[in-house]
Amino acid sequence: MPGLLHRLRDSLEETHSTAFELRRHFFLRFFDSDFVSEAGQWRVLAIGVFAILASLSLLFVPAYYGKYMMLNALPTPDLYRLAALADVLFLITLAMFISGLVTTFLWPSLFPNFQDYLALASLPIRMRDVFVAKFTGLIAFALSFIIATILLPSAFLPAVAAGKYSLEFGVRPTALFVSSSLAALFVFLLLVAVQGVLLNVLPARQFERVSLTVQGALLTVFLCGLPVVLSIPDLHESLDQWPHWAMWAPPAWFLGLHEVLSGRPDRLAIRLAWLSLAGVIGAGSAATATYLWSYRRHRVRLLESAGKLKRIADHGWIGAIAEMFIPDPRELAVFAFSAKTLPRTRQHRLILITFAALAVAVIFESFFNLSLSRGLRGVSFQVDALRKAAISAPLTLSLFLLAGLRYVFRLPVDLGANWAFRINELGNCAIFLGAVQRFLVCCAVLPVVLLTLPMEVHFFGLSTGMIAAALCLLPSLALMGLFLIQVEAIPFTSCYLPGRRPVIETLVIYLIAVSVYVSVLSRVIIRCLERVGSELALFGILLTAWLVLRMAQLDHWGVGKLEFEELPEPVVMAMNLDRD
Amino acid sequence: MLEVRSLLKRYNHIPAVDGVSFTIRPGEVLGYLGPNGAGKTTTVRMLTGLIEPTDGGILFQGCDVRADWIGFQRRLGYVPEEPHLYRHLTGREYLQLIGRLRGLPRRVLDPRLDRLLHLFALWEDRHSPLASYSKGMRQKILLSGALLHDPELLILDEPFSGLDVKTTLILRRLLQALASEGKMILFSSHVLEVVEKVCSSVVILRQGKLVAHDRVERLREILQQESLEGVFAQLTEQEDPGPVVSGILAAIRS
Repeated sequence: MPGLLHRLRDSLEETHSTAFELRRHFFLRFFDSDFVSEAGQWRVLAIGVFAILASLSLLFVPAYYGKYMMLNALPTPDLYRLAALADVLFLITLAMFISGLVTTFLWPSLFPNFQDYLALASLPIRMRDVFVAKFTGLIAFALSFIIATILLPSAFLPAVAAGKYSLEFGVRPTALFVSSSLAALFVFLLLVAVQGVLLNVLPARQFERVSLTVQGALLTVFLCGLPVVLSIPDLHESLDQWPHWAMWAPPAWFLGLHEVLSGRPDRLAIRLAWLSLAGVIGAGSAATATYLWSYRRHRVRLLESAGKLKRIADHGWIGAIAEMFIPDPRELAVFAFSAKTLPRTRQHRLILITFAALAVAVIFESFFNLSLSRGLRGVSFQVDALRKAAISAPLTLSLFLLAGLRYVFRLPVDLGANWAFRINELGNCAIFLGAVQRFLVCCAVLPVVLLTLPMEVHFFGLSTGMIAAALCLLPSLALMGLFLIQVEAIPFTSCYLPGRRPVIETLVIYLIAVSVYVSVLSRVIIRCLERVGSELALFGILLTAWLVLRMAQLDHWGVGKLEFEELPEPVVMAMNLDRD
Repeated sequence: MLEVRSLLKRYNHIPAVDGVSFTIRPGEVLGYLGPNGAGKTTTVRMLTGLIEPTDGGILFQGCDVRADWIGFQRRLGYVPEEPHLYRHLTGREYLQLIGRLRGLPRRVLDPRLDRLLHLFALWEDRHSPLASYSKGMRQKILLSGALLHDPELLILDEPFSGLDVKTTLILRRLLQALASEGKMILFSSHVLEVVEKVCSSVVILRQGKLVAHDRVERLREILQQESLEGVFAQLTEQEDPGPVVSGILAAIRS
């Protein structure tokens, strides 16, 4: 065996045909997405994610085993059948969401890009070969990922569900594997086709902007959808009768396919199974067609449009307003630099969108759980819980937005260009950092207050709603103060290696932050709003906390020196953070 | 006057610049020459405050700049060797950033940068991101940024890199005009023909050490060379390129 592995490794080290080398190149590049900083770091990330899944499975296996033991012990198989159906639907939908999320992360690499054309332009390779290699590399990556993700759960669920009812109503490993894999492939191919259409329909310059918006929207939808997916196993009672909209819900198509493959071909299941096959074939054809369509056309458009100078709209009025509020030109310089950098660099925007999407997902989850607690049909919200969710919303948003901004500020843009700040740094440290504070207030703290104020007023009435908004504003300011004490750099001018902290550690930190900052604080605010006088006490405590942090922050700015690096760490250079 | 006294910079105990001393008087354009790795950029980076010298002193108008770095940097204009710019900003936005960091109020800054954009033929492309500029256009932006605040001392590291013929001629004349107004200019370059035409005197470095500091004509006279290129080759002991060329040819045929 070691000899075979050795020979395989040796063979891979050799130079093979151009077609093979191209496929190998494109296949390996899919692992280096925007969210990992160096070639090979995906392994660390994958191990981290696997560790989390393994830890979760330690909790789920006994729970599922116990659940099916109980269901198998029931006198009738009805409940077993519905639970198995709900669990299959859950796995199919989860596979679709994971496939969608991964495809969204790989969004910029789905088609050959400008860099591919330039890098391969001078080589003796036909453009047709590049396209074929990219497409086959893409499909190979998608298939390997789907198989690796679905294989284990497809074996696990039938194993824990085994019992006296499993022969008739149980889950078949092959049926589950095929239906889940096709469901995941359907989503993947559909997203490739969507990008292909955008690529060919939109002008090359507009494509960049629209493509990022679509990527952000997809990310938000998939993240917000996860709580819904996780609640599917609890919906078994609703699966007794197929709802009329099942024909329009792709997960239901693949559930139908699973039923047919498991030997339970009722009329509706057959219809849904046909729909699932038509969906996969349709999405696959659309993806292939857009690839063929973009061959040459996209390349010519990309390369020809590169020669023309792109124009950025000059919003002079925004500058004039900013100047009214920030009279010092040096402070205005750092503020304007941050405000122009964030929306113009793809990776920064994407990372911030991810943080915002996570916040929206957490908020959505709290409201969704409320709706589930009274059943989907008769929605009757519990007032207290609803109020708590309304208070949690601004806290969650401010936490994730501030954390996201803190993260993106440390990712450099053209690190070599920071000499412009460095030769003007002396004596201006506090002024520069003051601009960072203003930027955080304008981009995170104030928008959250303004966005959530109508909701607070709606749930609490005008006066209490205003007090609630103020009580949510102060923790945001305190959190910003805490963040600013640690800031020693102008945004985007210093270097930080993303992904250095293990995934599991990051997850634990965020879980603690959400529990303490959001759950505990929102409970405290609700309690104080209920008792006359205590809201004033809480206001005083929060105000003091903010002022103490602000004093500490100002002291730190007075003695601190700004942080600048000469060169980015090689791994950060590999991220191509400034590529657009 | 700018005086550099026994400037020393060591990296891991290895000197990159080793006891370099020179002066630039008002109205003087000093050429700063040396082969790759001689310590030119390190000197420039020490003069601009980007790195700290290990030892030695920098005096501006008779005062140690370390006593008032801010004051010194206010009177300094700098064009770096590499066109490191924030490429997502437009040409105009970049100049606005530099001007604001220099503390120039809008009423002064806006008309000044608009005039420079016109004069450097960048007006039409002022709203395009620097990423789409050619190398020459980026160089013009760097030059405009260095001149925005009317500095007393200009430090130019390869300022002609990528410039077209017309702008090269303009810049040459501009440097002479700035010198005639009493500005001090440190001009670091590899292009010896340009240095010979623009600079009144030169400093030549080799392996971090100063090997010559004099007027160009005097160096030609002492070393009995017809051009600055000959002076440079003699002082820096440039090796004969012939064997290297033969080696490259042999390597690609092997």
